[in-house]
Amino acid sequence: MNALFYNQLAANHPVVRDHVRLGAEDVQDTQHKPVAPGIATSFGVLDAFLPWHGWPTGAMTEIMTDTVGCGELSLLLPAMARLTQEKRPILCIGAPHALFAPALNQAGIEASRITQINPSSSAKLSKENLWSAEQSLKSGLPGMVVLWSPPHMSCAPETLRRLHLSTLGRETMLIHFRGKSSMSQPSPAWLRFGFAADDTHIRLQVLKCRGRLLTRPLITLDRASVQARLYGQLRAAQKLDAATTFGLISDSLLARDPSVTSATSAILPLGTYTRSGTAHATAGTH
Amino acid sequence: MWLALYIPALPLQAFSHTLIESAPVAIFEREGRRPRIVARNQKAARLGISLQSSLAEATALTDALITLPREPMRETALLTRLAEATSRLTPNVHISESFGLLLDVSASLTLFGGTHALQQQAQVISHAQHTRTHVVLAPTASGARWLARAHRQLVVDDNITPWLDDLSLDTTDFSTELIDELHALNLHGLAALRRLPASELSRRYGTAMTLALARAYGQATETLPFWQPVVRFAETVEFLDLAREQDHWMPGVEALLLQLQDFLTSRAATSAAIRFRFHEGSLKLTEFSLQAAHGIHLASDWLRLFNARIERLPIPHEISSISLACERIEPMQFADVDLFDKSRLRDREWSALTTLLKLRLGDGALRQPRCNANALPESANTLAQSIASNLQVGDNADTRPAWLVDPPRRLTEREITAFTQSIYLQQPERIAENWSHPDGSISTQRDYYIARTPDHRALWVYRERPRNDWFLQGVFA
Repeated sequence: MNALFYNQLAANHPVVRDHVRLGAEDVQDTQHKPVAPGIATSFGVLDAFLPWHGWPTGAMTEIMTDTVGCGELSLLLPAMARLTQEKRPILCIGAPHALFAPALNQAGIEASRITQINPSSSAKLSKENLWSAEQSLKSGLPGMVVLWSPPHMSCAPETLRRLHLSTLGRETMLIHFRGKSSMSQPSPAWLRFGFAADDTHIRLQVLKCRGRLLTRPLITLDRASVQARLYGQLRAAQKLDAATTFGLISDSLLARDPSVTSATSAILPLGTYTRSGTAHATAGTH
Repeated sequence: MWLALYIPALPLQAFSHTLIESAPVAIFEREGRRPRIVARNQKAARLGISLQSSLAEATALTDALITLPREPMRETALLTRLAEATSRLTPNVHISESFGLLLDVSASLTLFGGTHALQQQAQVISHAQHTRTHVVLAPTASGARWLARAHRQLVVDDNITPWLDDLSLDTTDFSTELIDELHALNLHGLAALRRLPASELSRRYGTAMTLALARAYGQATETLPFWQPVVRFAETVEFLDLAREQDHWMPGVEALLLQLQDFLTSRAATSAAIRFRFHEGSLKLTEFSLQAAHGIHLASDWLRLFNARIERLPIPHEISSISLACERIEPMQFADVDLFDKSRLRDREWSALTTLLKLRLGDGALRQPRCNANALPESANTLAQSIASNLQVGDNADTRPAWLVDPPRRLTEREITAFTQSIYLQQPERIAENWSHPDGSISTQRDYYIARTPDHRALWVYRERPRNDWFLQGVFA
């Protein structure tokens, strides 16, 4: 029943173009208690699957992946944008790199509401990161705390329990990025995903979802919808590359394909424009 | 309305109350060549020690008597301590040497629930300071002062005249010689004195006495200088032995912070910065300041910040004494509470949290991604030179990676070979920095591309001109 619903939803959703393959046909709620609504993920299938209709607040969510740069942060960007628009601060602790403000602006996130602690942190700083996360969660002030633990590091069960207890009853969500080796370890988190991605899809192996039967469903998202801006630019670049290589640029092509138009507007003419002291120039062929 | 706090036997009470309660004690003062007893406790009185007797007479009566010289500094310290404690009743406190305190409580009556409630409050405060006092409320300052010498507790709401008329001259502030002279004229009470014509009294004894009478009875105004509380806090705790472990010296820090809390509470003030000094004799000194996001007055809040700081940078030596100083206090501001918009309160609490995190992790550990007008991505993300998000990236701009690799990482030959297969070389985005040179010459030119890796990652790489070196600048996460 639910599988049918999700398949219909995926099929009828022209923008998101997500699809979901459930592990069992008769997935039912294990608890019928009303749950507090979370922060919408903005990905239709994910929102429909999760009992909170979004990321759960006042709870810990674990995303387990070993790679950086496969769209794992893009899953969170719409929720982050929503929270910063509500003037809620966001804390990113122990991230693998520094967050880039222009990218946050492009995602609709108010960058001034984001605070980063110990970016590019080593395992040596993980204790400090856990302390920072606990303090900020206990305050209940941030809308979201995103914590990165080094992939090779295993968190002690009592550490996870402390983090989880710090979130309970508060309007703060904790997103905890951990390594894939943690998938087999128990955790008090309400929601646990194994994250994997290829060039076209992002696959979320649901290991635990409070309020649903443990059937380990696999949710597959179209990566082009998760990283829409990147893929839009890549598609345009691909078309333009092909068109330039084979000498196919013509007025008729530009008129037919808007994505090519936007891409060519960056290179034609080959002049230089200046923006607030920034000189941008686009080169032609190389 | 005035509240008089009279401290009987002030020279005695200035000493430790445990000493006073434990043994017969007499305080003597040297007048000329003959020391005289000016105060003694009950145990000494039971042994027959009387006031104004000579020290030799007193010591001859008993061997158990403890005699101490009068210490005016201790008396001043007691009066100041009591003034600080009673300043929560009114800011208008007058310290009267060798008497006690006079508080102008006209404006505090309604707040504290009337004269009797105020009297009780004053008694509670005195008791907490281990000081025995007489508490009298009367309409005039001098009247309250004289009545306090005769009554332990009294409230005169309106007509003070009959109460003053009953007083003997010994309760007034007249000099001993004047009182003796009046006694010789068979004048023993204020009522008898007032029956004499005022002009005759002024002519014979000077205007000071008639003016004092007029002030006490409310027929002349009286102005008293009020005590100004100290606005700088500085206290020290010393240890008998060198404290090695944090558990050993931490109670000293807590005691100092509690003293600071009392200091701030009594002044209805907060402080945003305090300074600690940890001494190891004169050999080593560790000094640091704690800065709060906004003024705080609770010892527990300061202790939280202190613990965060000490976790990051522990005291590297043994400790013989700890000093705490607070140079500046601010009046306590009550936060505007808006029932519908809690964002201001939340911002205030958020700044307090970031302060705590900075103390524990260090200033450099916290960053905020900001845009500025610089051309190169790695310099566009700095906090120090930030221009609050004035570079708005429009919808038509090229996409930017969420992660910035700062500083950019030079790519190896193998990586370049793998990347270039996935790079569309026809339309790089060129970012050039040409404003840093006065002549407009371009020092840095970068051609940016989006590269895909075999493990399905998307990277932001650039080729630096004119050397053709490849670098990794960002990750599309």
